[in-house]
Amino acid sequence: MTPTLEKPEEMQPLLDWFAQTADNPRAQLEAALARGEKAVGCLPYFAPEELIHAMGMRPFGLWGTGGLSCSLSAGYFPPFYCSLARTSLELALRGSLRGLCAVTGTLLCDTLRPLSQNWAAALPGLPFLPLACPQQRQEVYALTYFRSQLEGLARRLEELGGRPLDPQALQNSLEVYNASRAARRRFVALAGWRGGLIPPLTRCQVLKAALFAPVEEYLPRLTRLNRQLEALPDQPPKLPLTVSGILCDSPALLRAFEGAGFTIAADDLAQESRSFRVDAPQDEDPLLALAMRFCAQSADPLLYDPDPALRPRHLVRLVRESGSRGLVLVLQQFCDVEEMEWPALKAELDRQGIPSLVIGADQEMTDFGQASTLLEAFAERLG
Amino acid sequence: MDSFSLPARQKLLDFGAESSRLAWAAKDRGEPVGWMSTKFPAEIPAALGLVTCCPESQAAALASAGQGGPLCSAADGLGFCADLCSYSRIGLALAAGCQEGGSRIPLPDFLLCCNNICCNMLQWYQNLARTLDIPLFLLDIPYTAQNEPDGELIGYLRAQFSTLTRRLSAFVGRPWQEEAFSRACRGAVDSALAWQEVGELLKDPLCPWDGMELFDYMPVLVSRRCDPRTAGLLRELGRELAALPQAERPARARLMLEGTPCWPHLRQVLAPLRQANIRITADTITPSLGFVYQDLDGLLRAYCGTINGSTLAKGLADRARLCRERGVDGILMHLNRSCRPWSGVLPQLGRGLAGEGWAVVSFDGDQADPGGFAGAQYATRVQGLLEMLEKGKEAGA
Ligand code: SF4
Ligand code: SF4
Repeated sequence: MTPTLEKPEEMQPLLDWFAQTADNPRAQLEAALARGEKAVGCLPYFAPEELIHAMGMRPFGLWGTGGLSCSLSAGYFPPFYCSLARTSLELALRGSLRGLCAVTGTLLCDTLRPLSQNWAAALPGLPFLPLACPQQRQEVYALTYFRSQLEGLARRLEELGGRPLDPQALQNSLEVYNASRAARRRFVALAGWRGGLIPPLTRCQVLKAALFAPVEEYLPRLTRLNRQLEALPDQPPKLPLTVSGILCDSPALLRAFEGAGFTIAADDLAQESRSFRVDAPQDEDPLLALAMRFCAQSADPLLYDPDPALRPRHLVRLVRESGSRGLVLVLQQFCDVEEMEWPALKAELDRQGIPSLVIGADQEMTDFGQASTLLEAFAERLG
Repeated sequence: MDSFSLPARQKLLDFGAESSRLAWAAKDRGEPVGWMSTKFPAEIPAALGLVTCCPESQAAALASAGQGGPLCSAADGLGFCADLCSYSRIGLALAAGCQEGGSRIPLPDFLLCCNNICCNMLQWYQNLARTLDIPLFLLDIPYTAQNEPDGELIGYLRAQFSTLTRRLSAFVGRPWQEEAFSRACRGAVDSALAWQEVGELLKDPLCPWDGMELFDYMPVLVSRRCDPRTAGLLRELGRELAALPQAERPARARLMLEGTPCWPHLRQVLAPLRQANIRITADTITPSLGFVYQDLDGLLRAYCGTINGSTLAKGLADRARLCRERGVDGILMHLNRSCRPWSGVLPQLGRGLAGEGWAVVSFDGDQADPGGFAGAQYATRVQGLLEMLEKGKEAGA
């Protein structure tokens, strides 16, 4: 039997910082406002944080919130709407986003389209800056188009008090965000190979803190954490797992993963790895480089790939390369994007002999008893 | 003679029904047949002489014929969640060969997809491409949340148009000819103008037919809008409708139906309205097929202006104008569970229309899955609408 890895003493304060940051976004926002910064809410997906950062503003992640029951947003969305949209709007309607000067979001699914419209109608004081995204991303003309959209967004940000867009500042922001993404990728790889030292909830907190903390504070801490993890020997976890879906950040659900004995060895979550898989390339036009970053994304259910087999192949590779024993899809209820692709993905996973499980989740959900039972049964099957 | 027994009506219905026969015949000749999303520019396949089928029209027809339930269950059996748009689910079930007695439309050899009406379309067609292993030709019209497409978007669309037509023509082995494309565009614009003329007849307070009848001709407008015969047939219909004797008295109330009709329960939806001498004189979908343009940029602009591609503000203004033109007193909103981009703005849209003075009620339902509709709720809501209208009249008097 392999001995359990000892957590080095100096690691805990770092992990506490990540947990504090991930669990208290409002405190982060207040701190930014106290420093006189302008903060821009970044709704899913692929928000151009670098652009906001380069204009001297604070990108502030806005992915709904857990355990919030939606009463005010119920006046805008029918009940069969995904909770990410409902809780995001609810937060704004309740005044919990006070202090943001705007929110920005791409409009890549059928829920985000009406979200942009309801937001504009319900919250005239908190402008929604839409970012239209091309789907023909492999074509050069898509780059030109997307660059023009980013330029338009920059103009709007400037009107709202952002600094004029300076190419050198954007270049610097691209570099620091590339470094942050590389550090997060490194952390994901390390966390999956340190036995059960980084349980699912801790892993999520480390990654989620990036949504709210200034990159200048986040990156050095994550680099330190990675170094501490690197100093430990590789140790395969008992039950390595790949988790797919939009997000999986509910503490109760993450504890259920841990309770069933799983370690997350890889993820295909929109809030986590899908958002930091691709870096911006070097280009003399940094705005074009930012456009290229989006256009280089692939194997994402929100995006069109000319090769339809790319996505299933990607998932199979993720499972195999991370040494995962299976894949769990955390399916956001009413997320048609994930619902639509799942049967084809499942068929491919079955063909490849990869066990899989679907767990329905919802940000309004507080009781994960059923998920717990399913995960335990799945663990038994894999064990 | 009433509107249902007009000779032009039958001709148009036959002309529409011919589409699937044409598709089977093309298949038999070994020609490639495509599936095309409703608001993909039909001018493109028409210019190449390609036969296409529209799975959404097919799903609507099947749902009206009581097939929605079994096909949705079949999709369920294939692993597709019941939350998904029921047109997509039916399309997926058809693609998997789930229809008993064989499908009315042949399986596609290629796919023509445009995401101007919803993002789901792209996900659905990508799935079809993946499972059927056939090429997908995409015209990507991203949602911009702007009232009008800007120059950059038009540039992006123009570039796509030229790549798409080149690739499609290479795939089917037919040359792209500008003259054929212009002919297709002229046909489409003429059909749209003729379609508008028919719709205009509903402005007459003594119009003797119900606006719901327009839906019967929609498949023609979707699949055969570029055919030069379409405009002629529509004009014939318009003349015959205009020649019908006027109603003896105006309807008790005139309504707009907001949303896709609830096809599986259409009779139940319309019966209480008919009984109360209430007419539907406006809807959102049928006018959306009457778009015209002058050149390629105009065509691309027109295809950006779909119902779900618009902003809420523009959607509200367009509906208010239509309601005024068609003398609408009240609005019946179908909260169609299938269509997220549409239903997601309806509560706010309803408030906007109510704010402009119209009586508005909504009911839950689904366009093709019979399970989404509750008869008792519908009856109560219609009753509520009638009461609001009566009160409005009393107040007016
Ligand atoms: S969870 Fe799904 S439906 Fe909701 S916003 Fe994200 S992609 Fe859209
Ligand atoms: S009903 Fe709505 S979601 Fe379904 S295909 Fe039509 S526009 Fe898209």
